[in-house]
Amino acid sequence: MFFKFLWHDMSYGIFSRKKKFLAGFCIFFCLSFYHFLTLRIYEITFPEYFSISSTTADYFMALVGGCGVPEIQEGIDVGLTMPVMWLGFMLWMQFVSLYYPFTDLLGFGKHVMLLSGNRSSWWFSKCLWAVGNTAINYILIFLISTLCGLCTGGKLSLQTNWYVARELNMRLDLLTFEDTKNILPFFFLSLLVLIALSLLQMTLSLAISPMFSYFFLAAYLIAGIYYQNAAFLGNYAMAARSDIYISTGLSAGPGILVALWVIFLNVFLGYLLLGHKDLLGGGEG
Amino acid sequence: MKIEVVNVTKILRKCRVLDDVSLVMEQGTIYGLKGINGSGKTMFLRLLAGLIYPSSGSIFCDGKKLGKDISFPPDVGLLLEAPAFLDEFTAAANLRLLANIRQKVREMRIKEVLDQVGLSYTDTRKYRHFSLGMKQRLGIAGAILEHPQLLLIDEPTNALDTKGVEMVKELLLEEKEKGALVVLACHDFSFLEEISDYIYTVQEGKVFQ
Repeated sequence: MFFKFLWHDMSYGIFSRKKKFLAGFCIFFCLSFYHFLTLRIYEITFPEYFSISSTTADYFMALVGGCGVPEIQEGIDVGLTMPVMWLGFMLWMQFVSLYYPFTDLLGFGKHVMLLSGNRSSWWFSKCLWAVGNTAINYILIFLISTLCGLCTGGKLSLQTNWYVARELNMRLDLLTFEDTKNILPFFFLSLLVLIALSLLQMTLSLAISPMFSYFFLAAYLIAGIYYQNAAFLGNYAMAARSDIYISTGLSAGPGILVALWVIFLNVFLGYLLLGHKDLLGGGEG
Repeated sequence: MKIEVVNVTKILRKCRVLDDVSLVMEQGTIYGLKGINGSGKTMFLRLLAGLIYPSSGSIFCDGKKLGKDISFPPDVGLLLEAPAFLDEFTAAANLRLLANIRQKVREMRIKEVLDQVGLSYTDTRKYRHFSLGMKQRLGIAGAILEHPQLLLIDEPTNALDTKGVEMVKELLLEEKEKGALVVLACHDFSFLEEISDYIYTVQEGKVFQ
């Protein structure tokens, strides 16, 4: 029975969502293109950067790298440049996982659940759906940024150049590498954190409404921009705050453990919550 | 199937939607529920379906406690409020998805039930292009697809013309003949009177005959 749920979720909850994929393509192609424009501005301001050829990994990092920690210099808060691209990326990733489970729960999924005879299969199937949906959308965004990089003359590579650190407001003297660094470790850490956040959002949606859970997640992510702290999971999804790239960053190892803990906790809590939840619809005549 | 509702009270947002309801429902019988909007008819159907839990009291299906021994009644067909199907699929494809869950019925039955409700098996239109009446017909088809032992129907005549109402009447009587326990909530008192063996009034949380 569980595999029937899963098949339904994968086919209807992911593969038939062509409009969302198209919207994601347009948004992230444009956002990736912004990196190209930034490069051109750098070219005018700092011509020395352009002894380096940009790579497709630079495009991906510029999109999802986040921002360095706001600094205080000589008693003055130099402030923070809001990582708009990162925030847009994170909010999009949460948005694509937001509504499907609940439209399904109040619609066709309710029939499927009744016919299956239990609630738990529905929940565990939705958890796997969340993992699959997040991974597919994430890989799609990676491919879009790569395509944009190739279209604008970037070299196909998984090595990001040091100059991207400037775009992410990182302190260059604290970088853990000199010229280039492979993005794969961050790629997987960021994906794991996104999966944890989407499951957290799904569990919260059972307790409050999907819309409020989305706003809660947005506030949680924004708070994480101001504080580099393990309690704010979003920090682990920022390359600019990871010890892979910057010596003062958060360790990736505990990040993996925290993300896994959040995943398992939410799968379990969601199972308990759904088991006791009243499945109400619109009218109550 | 036999359903026993024992001292069930349901409180939602501090409002007593159902208040100490007790009744027994037997198979092969149609029970009609009448009441004004907001009287608790739909809530009562949801309770019977296991979609919501009583605040106090219990519901038993063939002696098994709903929400404890079983999550949902073992063999239930449901049409609550607006029918809910997948927009991108045809009528037959939607029913095929439902039939695939328990694999109790074959393709022939899908064709048969669509004919019964006046829809075409070969219609290539997607659900989102259906009229309200067509959606309601498909909702009824989905509910009776597997000849369930328990049939919970809310406002079956919604959006249907006179011919459609007659069709629903015949189908529900047919299911009753096959041994189903049918509980239906409807505004149309004359329809309820014609079809029901027992009529219950739902008023201010109380359910009485």
